[in-house]
Amino acid sequence: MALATRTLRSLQRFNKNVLLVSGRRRHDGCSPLLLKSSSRPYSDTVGVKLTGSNVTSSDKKDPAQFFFKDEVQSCLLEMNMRDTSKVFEPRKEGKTLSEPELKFLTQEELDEELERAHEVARYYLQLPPVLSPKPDERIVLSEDPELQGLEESKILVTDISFGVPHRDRIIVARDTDGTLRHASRDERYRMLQTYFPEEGRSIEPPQLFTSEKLKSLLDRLEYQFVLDKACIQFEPDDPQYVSVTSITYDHIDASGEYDLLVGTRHYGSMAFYLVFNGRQDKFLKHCISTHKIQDAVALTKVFYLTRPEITDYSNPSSPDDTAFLKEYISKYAKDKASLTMTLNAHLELQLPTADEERTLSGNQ
Amino acid sequence: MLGHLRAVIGKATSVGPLGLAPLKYNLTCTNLQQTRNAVTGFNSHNVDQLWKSITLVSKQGQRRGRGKKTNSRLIKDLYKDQVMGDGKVKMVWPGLNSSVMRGRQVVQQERLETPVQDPNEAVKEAKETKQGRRRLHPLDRGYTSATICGRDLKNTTSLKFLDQFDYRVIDTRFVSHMTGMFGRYQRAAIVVVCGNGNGVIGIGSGKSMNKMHAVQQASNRAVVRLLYIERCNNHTVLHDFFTQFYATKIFVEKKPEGYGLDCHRVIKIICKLVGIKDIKARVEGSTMPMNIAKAFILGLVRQKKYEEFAEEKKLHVVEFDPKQRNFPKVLASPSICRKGSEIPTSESLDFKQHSLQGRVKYDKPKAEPFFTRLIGWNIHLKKEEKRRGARENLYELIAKYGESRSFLAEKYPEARLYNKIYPKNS
Repeated sequence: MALATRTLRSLQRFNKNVLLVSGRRRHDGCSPLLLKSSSRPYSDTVGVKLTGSNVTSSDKKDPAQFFFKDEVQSCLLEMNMRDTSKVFEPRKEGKTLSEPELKFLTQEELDEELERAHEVARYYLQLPPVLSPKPDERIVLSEDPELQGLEESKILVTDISFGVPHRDRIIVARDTDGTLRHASRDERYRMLQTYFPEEGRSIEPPQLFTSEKLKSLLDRLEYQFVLDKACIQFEPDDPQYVSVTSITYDHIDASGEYDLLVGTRHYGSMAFYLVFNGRQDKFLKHCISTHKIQDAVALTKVFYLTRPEITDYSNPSSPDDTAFLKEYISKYAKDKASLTMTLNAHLELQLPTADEERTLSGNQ
Repeated sequence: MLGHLRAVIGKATSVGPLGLAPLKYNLTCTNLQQTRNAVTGFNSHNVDQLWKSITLVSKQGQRRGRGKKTNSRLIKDLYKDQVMGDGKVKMVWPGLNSSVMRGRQVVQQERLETPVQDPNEAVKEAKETKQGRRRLHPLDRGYTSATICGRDLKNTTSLKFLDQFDYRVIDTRFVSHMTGMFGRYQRAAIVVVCGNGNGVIGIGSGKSMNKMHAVQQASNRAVVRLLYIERCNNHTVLHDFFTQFYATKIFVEKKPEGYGLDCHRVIKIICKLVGIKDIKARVEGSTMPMNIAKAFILGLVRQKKYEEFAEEKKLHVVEFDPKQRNFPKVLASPSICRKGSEIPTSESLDFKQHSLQGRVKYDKPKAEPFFTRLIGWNIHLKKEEKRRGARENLYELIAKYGESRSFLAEKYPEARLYNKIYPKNS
């Protein structure tokens, strides 16, 4: 107990308001050391060195510095929001739901409801961030060797005050050798899941993320299931999350079943992952051959945005600007011949047929 | 076989004036020999007399109703569809299947070549198989065994029906009045519903001294008074409605696929005949079967389409389904839609209230089971409180370690549970 008291006291030394004031305001007087490791929004992780070997990035860059750009976000969200019908499809959740309700609505009320439905779709189609794995740093707050051997196990102290974002929550550990340090990632997950249980998340990662089970799932094309589960279980900068998603995206790229993710929140993230790793050509070809030209244009735009060294490009004039695609294919595509052929085939289909031309001229 | 031969011999003796011709073939069956010599009823009586001797009911017995129904042994025609003298071996039996004299010569018993299949095989098989009632599906047997109500008429009666329709009786009564000539004049009154299971329904009633005649009469009337019913996706009603016929009031609710028929048995039969699969209905007031049927059919006919509702209110009819995250699905739109300012505050905009014509169905809240009021219930709850989450915990342990394990097992491996619980697949 003495160790616990000592830990609390040390904490209070760093942050006098930790037990008195709730909310973010109490960080005002905090030591920068206490806040450094835990409080870091995703978008601030720019510049973190890429240490994990899971991501096979062609160029050693951090995806976060491009992913959170407004233009990239709007392009990717646009891809997600192209087809919102899948969000509103009946799902098998094993719950008994109430009966459908009928209402009499005026035109204004109907428009409001449709707007609300659009917001719902936007909520469910939020992009899961594509980040590099965050290294598990050990940050020591104080070393008190006089306390070693006092307790048989380490002690974790969690700030459970209301309204603090979990990433900003202060969790510290007092080791048996008397070291006071920030809790490691696993310790943080365990404590957060204990005090603030998240529905669908378990303390131990489920078996499906083991390589054998994951392979079996991916071979059965259960991409959406795997990605959804990964989103629930892990934080986006967790090395395990990055590994699972990249394996899944790679599998999708290999199998060519991109359409399984259309209308889900993972579609844009997959596109970003492929573009960032310079493997966009197969996906681009698929988009053009399935006449999703708007997706292809957005993808190409993301390609330019993630490569700041390329400056000599013009923005697309319209969402389905084929000239923009042609320019990309001629300059940067790896498989130029096949992409050009696919685009030409698409353009031929879009051309008015002989009959249509005749009717058009007849009308004139 | 023996009886068969005896019968043949009996017939043969009566047919041919010469009796049996000398047997050319060795048919030295001891029984046969004995039969010929014995003086039995089989020699001296014909078939009808023999049958009568075992199936006869005395005059007194007949008066008491004996031998009328299931207990009586039916007289079987053993020679039905049978060619006399024909069998597996083609034989000439003079006096049986050929004339005895050919010109001046006596025809000899002989065997013809070309053995053919026994033409009586099928007849024998049919005789051997047990005669019983045809098995009927339990749902087609009707409400009870006492009345014909709810029974599948086509499979249980020999009346004449149209092939395309299914017929069910929903009500049988005996009605009577007094006449000068006959006194109490009693007749059966029958109500029959017919339908094709695909939106067509008819109802008819018949009255007759004979019950089955009344059924036939009612069926004939039902099939000429057909109505077409609109359904939603061929499985339920278009919308919730209230309907009334005299003192019979029915609240009908539209239900999703897979719900089933939760309603009075008469309504259930009508739903099956129309082709409605999912519905909930409650009957209030009189439960006279004919009035329930009439009220329900009336309600079905008076259903409105969503377009009519939209036109009536001059507003959009929109569906919010929680299964589809309450996406506003427009079912019908009016030609001109009213604005919010044009709707008076007194007007009700509740679709359910509108479709039920202002009626409100009272759903009685389900009473708690009696044991929740006992003292032991709280004790039970307290005990169970300790064990909450135990099963989920067990599953997690099995998933992680392959067995149920104590928290001490990490430090003391010998601290294991005596009754280990293993996962099913191992």
